Amino acid sequence: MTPERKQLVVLCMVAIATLAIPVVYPAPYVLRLMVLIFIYSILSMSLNVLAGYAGMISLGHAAFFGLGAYTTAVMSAKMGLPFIPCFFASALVPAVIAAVYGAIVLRSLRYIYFTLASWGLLEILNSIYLNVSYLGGPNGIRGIPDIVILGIRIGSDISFFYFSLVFAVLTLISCELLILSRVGRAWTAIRENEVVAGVMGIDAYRYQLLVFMITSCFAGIAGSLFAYYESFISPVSFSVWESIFLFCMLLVGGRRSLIGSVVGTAIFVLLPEVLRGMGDYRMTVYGVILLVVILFKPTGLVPQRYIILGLKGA
Amino acid sequence: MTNFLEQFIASIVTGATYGLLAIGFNLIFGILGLIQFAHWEVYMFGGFMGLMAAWFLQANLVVVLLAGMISAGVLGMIIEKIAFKPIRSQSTDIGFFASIAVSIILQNVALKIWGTEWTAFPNLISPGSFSLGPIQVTKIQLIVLGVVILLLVGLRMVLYRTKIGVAVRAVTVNRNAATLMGINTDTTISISFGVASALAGAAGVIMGVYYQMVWPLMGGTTGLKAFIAVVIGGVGSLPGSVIGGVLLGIAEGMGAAFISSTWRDGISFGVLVLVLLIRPAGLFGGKSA
Repeated sequence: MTPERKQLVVLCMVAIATLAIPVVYPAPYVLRLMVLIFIYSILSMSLNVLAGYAGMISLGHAAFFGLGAYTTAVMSAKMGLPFIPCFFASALVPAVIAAVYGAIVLRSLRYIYFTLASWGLLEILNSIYLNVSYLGGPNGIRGIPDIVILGIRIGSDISFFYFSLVFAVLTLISCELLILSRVGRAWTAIRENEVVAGVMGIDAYRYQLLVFMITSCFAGIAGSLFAYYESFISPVSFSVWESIFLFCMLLVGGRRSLIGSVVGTAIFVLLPEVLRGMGDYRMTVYGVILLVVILFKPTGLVPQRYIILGLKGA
Repeated sequence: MTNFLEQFIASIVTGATYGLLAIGFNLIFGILGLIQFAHWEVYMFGGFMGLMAAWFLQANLVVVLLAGMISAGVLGMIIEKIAFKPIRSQSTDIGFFASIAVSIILQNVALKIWGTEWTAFPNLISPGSFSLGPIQVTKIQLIVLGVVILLLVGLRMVLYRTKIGVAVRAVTVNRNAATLMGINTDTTISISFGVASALAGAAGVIMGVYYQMVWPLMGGTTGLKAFIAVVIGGVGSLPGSVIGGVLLGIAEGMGAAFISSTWRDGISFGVLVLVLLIRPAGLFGGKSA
């Protein structure tokens, strides 16, 4: 069996196993963890495109997650709007903010300065969430209604499981397509050597702005799903530690491998649960694991880009 | 008006301490290009070690300060050996995440040992204040300021008047060339880490003495502000970090006194972004991206 065949088989087995979970073992606890894995993998995959492929280490990814969540929360809980407008707004608002902020910042700030500027955006937004009473302040917004599409209510854990799974898969496919496209190759070129890329006619500013906008769009979608699922959001879920958390998923799972980011997401969502028995030592073990992975396997657990279904990639 | 001036003086004092913290951070960044996120936890650890000295040795201020500095310095060197040396050859991004991992570990170990609440720092300086015209300056403020100035002057003397200082500066400028000159870069880096961390430990003790309390999460909150001070002053510039620290202390103190304190973090970061846009290298930074 060729390596590609083997990968395909593994992929199918994993897919079938995943789809079967709600049928075979529908414990609410398990379903909840899987939903969180799907939602967070949308975040980590988009972050992988931004940081792993385009080389833009952004600490602000959680900010766009939060923007999406808050947009949905405000529009559905406070304004009573249905799913479709809320969802699209949650995808658009982060993209617009990213466009505006990126336009200003990317002109002159690169590398670590961009990282700091992205962190700055996150903290400023968080400050707004915390202080503006309409947004609920530190208590956040509660009472976000269930999703209702065409008369079908997506309220139970099982239905949300499949709903978020669809989005996770769509994200995976779109990110793969993006990476394999001309745009994706431009990002790789910029990441490797901005000057040389410029010589080849790639305008770094434009492509960086583009990836910033697109990935924040995905983050916003994840935020919308998160808001609907939890029915309640607060600024706590969108701190800089969330962004760092996402980077941990990337590092451990495998930089530049989208499947790796999913693996990393699964590890970091499941780890706190697995370590629950350790009580107070949980976070410490968490940090130790992170350090060990960094020291001994810095490229992550899924090191190379898997060639999915025969498509070659960078 | 007196209120304003007293708040101003208090801001300078806290700002000077931010500067002390920031300068250690800049030392490490300068020599390794590494964002030492765990620097703030070393600061916290130094504060707690000073506390231990005050409790168990019934020590006075000088001993407590030394205890904090030495233990923090040692901790810094251990961290460097375990977490940063093995990955030195790789891109600095990895180092950043390694330091985050160390930070998580240290923070949670401290939380486990000392709990989540703050612990009172014994009163080592007899209360008292002086009048400087119409305003009151407390003894604590003067002593804290004095210690910070002493440490900064000491650092400058070490860096510019001693052989090891020359070595540190050489390695900062160009590691390979320094090796060619016969400088043992590993030892020099270790020592720089130790010194920077010792300064952080001193800041920890100072903050403990000034606010009369230490708590395991103090690294996070104060560290963030010190980090902003680093960026404002200029990443890689030592005098810049002190000035950045003082400026931030003033902006924060005056801002908190006259603007709502819940907006403080947002304002600090707003200032950060503005500084980045106008002068990304900071006020005194020389090293560009």
